[in-house]
Amino acid sequence: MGNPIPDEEQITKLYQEMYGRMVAYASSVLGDRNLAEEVVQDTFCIFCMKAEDALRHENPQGWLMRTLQNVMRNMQRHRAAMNRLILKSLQAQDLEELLVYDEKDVDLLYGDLAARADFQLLKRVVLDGCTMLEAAEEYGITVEACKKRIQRLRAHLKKKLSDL
Amino acid sequence: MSTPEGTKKRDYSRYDQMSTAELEQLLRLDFQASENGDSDLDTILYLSDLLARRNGPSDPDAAWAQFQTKYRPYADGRSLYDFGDEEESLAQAPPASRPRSARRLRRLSILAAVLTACLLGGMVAQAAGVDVWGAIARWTDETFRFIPVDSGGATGAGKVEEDMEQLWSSLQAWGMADRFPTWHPDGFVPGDLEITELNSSVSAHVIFYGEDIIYTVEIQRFIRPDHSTGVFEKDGTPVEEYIHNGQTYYILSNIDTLTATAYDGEFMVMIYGTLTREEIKAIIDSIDGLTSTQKREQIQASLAEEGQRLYCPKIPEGFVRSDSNYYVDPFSHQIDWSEPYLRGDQSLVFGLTMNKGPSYRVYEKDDTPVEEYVYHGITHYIFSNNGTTTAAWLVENTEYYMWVTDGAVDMKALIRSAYEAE
Repeated sequence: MGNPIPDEEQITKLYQEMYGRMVAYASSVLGDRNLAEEVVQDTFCIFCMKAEDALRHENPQGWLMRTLQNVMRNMQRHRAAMNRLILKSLQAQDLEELLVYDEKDVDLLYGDLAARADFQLLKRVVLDGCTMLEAAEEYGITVEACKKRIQRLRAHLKKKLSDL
Repeated sequence: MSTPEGTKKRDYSRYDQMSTAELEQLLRLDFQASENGDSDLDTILYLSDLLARRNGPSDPDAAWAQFQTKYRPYADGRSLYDFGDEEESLAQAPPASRPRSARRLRRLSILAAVLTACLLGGMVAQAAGVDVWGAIARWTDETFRFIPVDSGGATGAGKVEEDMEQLWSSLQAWGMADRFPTWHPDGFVPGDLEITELNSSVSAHVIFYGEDIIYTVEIQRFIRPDHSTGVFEKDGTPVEEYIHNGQTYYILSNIDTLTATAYDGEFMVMIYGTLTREEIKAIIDSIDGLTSTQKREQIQASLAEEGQRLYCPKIPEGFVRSDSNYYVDPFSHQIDWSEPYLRGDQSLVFGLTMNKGPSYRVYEKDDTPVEEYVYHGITHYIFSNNGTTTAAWLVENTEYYMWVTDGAVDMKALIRSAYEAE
């Protein structure tokens, strides 16, 4: 959960003012409206967590745009890296063995223990271009769980592939 | 929507006249060119606001509701794609160089035209017919080509590198080959072609790797044409306008990188990276961009310079020109020109190569005999290959060829028609 918010009204007002132009900017850069909307939501999540400082910034709109740029770069970099991870996994000789979590690594908090299911989730996000929210809703989980499952699979695959 | 902070004193009106596609392209280029976060946020805010207004009303209330229920409850101060490690950013860095021959770059456009698919490397001489201009026609069960008289037979035809052939073929398939530069600075080798399909556009993207620097060529084709005038407005920033083949390229500098971009209402060409101004202009110069008529005029002029004329066959009724290719190799100065035609599922390609040295095309053929057809004092070699018929002949140093779907036309009649004007 987020930290206490210093001025909810200010945040709401800034959101209303900036949402459209931030989505327009992100759509231009990413070429995908859905991903653009998600990076804007992601940017406002960060903003809310740092609202106390961000709202005191001399140019909160500029703060948001700069953060949006960083979020987009981060997203592009990680999606590309995950794409490489998927390709490398698919080239592995025994994908079935690869897609089994080690018992000690299994995080019981996230329900579905199958690496195969997580791999499908990862492919939906990376290869099919789904947003985290779209993939999460498809699997009936939260955005947070979606991120955690992808994070867990990434760590597993990177370790396994480096051992090969 | 209120005016963004910091935008009140500056005049942004020049952007108002730009098309949506141009504005989006400016934002994209700025984003790509400002890795260090040095972009002008006030301008970005203005352009984003402009685009938002053009795109029509958004629904921030619905978005806010989604934000409050789907995203914000799980906010932890880090991005959704921040997985807590930084190694990916290192993995993203391209290799300093790749073990490929720079020669491949020079071959890029030699692979033009539909006949690309017919080019083959390597052959064994089997039969021969002497022709003018000191060249001999040679063929096997699989290939046909001309070779110089003094070559001693099966000398190297030049290996056609598979990756470059694939790159060129892919660009042609996407209708972008004519917009792609055919020359690249020595020491750079191309990475893989990446095609991105979006709702409104398709883009082709190739990174060229140098020893420790890179640059990128990107072509974006807008599927839904914009009402653009096709010309970027010149603003007060130090932007150089460079005109090539009637197309204005805007060259923008940013610290140690240069970006050149041009937009004709359908295609956006972008070249950006660590290049000198001279290099980026040379790359631009190698972009074709001519109309089919201009290309034909070019080849006629080139032939005339050597005292030759264009022997062009009369294209049979119903065939429609689908494209054309014109390329001058910047190193050998060899000129390739061709015009493909279509009539339903039938194809016809007519083209020529003005050779500047002992280098000739290699054509794929089947094991049926090559027929020698003498007309107008010239020997025309006719052979078949998997449902197609090819004719090739030399006029001085110029190698002509025609390639047709079997049964589409009478090849000999087509050859004769090329000399009818005389």
